[in-house]
Amino acid sequence: MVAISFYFQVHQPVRLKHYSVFDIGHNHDYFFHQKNKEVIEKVAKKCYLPTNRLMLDLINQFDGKFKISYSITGTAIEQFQHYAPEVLDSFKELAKTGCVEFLSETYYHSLSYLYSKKEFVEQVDLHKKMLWKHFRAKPTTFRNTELVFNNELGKFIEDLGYDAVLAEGADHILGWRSPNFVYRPRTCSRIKLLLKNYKLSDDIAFRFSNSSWADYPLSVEKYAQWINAINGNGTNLNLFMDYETFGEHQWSTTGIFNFMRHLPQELLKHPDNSFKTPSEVARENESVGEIDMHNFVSWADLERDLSAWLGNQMQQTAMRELYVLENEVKRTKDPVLISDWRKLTTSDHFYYMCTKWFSDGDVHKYFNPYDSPYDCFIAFMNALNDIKHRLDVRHRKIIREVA
Amino acid sequence: MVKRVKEVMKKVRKERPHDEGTVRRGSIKAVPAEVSFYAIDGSRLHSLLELADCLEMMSDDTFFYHVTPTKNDFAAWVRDVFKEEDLADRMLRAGSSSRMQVMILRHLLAKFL
Repeated sequence: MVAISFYFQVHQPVRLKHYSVFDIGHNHDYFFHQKNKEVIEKVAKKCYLPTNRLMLDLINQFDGKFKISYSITGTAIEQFQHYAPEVLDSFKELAKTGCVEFLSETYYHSLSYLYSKKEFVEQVDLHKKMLWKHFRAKPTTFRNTELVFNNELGKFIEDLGYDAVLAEGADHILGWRSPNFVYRPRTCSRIKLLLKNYKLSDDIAFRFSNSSWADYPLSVEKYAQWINAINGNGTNLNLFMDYETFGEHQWSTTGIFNFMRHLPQELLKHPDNSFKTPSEVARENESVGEIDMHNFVSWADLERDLSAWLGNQMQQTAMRELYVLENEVKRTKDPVLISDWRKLTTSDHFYYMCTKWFSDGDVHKYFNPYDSPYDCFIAFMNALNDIKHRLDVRHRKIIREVA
Repeated sequence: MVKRVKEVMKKVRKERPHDEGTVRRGSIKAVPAEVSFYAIDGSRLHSLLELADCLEMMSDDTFFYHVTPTKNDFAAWVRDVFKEEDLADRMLRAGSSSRMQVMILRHLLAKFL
């Protein structure tokens, strides 16, 4: 029996504008509203709306046998509300089917776990509240930003009360093991660990339209055959990918929508295949062993580590300087200031500062709205300096009032 | 050597048919799917005999994907699942698929014949 578990990541950062040094102290708006609006409207049209319609059709067609899960960030939801409310409505419609699970993560899609556990917990709580508000969903499965995971994080998440956590099924971690079983992180006693089958996931997410790939073109029959072969050699198949795969990374002209439309039917022809949400997979399967992830593993780049966000000094400096301000920003209790600071915690800003222009250069370039990583670093640090300026102004005001 | 070991291996196979069973020290029986070896080329290995067999035809790409200066997945599997510490230690020094195959076959012969 193979339970196929789709998890789609839905995320849009609030992109920074080219905030210059001359703006500091004069203009406290760091974000590129026009660009953010354009991106949301474009991706809504190309991906979110048609894919949500397709998923809803499939759920209705298979009468509860087709199930999926989403992790939707708070920054994406906020932007849907502002620029494409119909997208949010369509996710709400999906939520009502009962065949969709919403996963827990940090509201701002941040790497806060690495720098501040307090901020991490606060962002997870904010995200939970958001899921309840919009979808009446109470998540029991956690996925950290970019699937960043290690033993310590596993224990932390278990202690927060979650039943399952998702991570990358990296070869160097698995060794001889298969990603197609449920495991338990070495440091945990209860929580289940679901690992991404990156080969089968990336066949859809990355290789689908690659004409130089030996298995191009990928038909549903061929793909289903690969999945059917897992029967007897695994209990579950975790297909984790960005939702923007559909229509945005893989354009509709590649046939990606047609592929997805026919995939469930082909897979359900095999009597031992089924679709399950991550929490169902965790509930219905015992862990077959423990996985030891001493170092952080992510789903990014070939390295599967943190180097996409923290691989150079610009990234490390920006991250360090950001979290130095945490307590001071929070002490102000100013919701606008705190929200501005938190929007800077989004991992994408650091990803844009990445200088790995080698094996993964194309991917980084594709996602980067800046001409160079240095442009992003400058805009980010200028915004951060303006936050410092706003804090200084407040301090001076308080001192004057006391005096 | 390989030829002789193979002949004996055939005998072993004949006498002890490949069947499902629980993991026990030095077992040549197949282990359950959840502790089988998941190779990068898609093959699944369930016993030491299967591993020895598979090493014969294994491409260098596959072998050296699992055996690098920092890891040896085959040795780790033998240690973790079959609890064969000595064999696993020897496999760490194999350096090639054919040498590893001979090590496994010799071990099986010494253990079971």
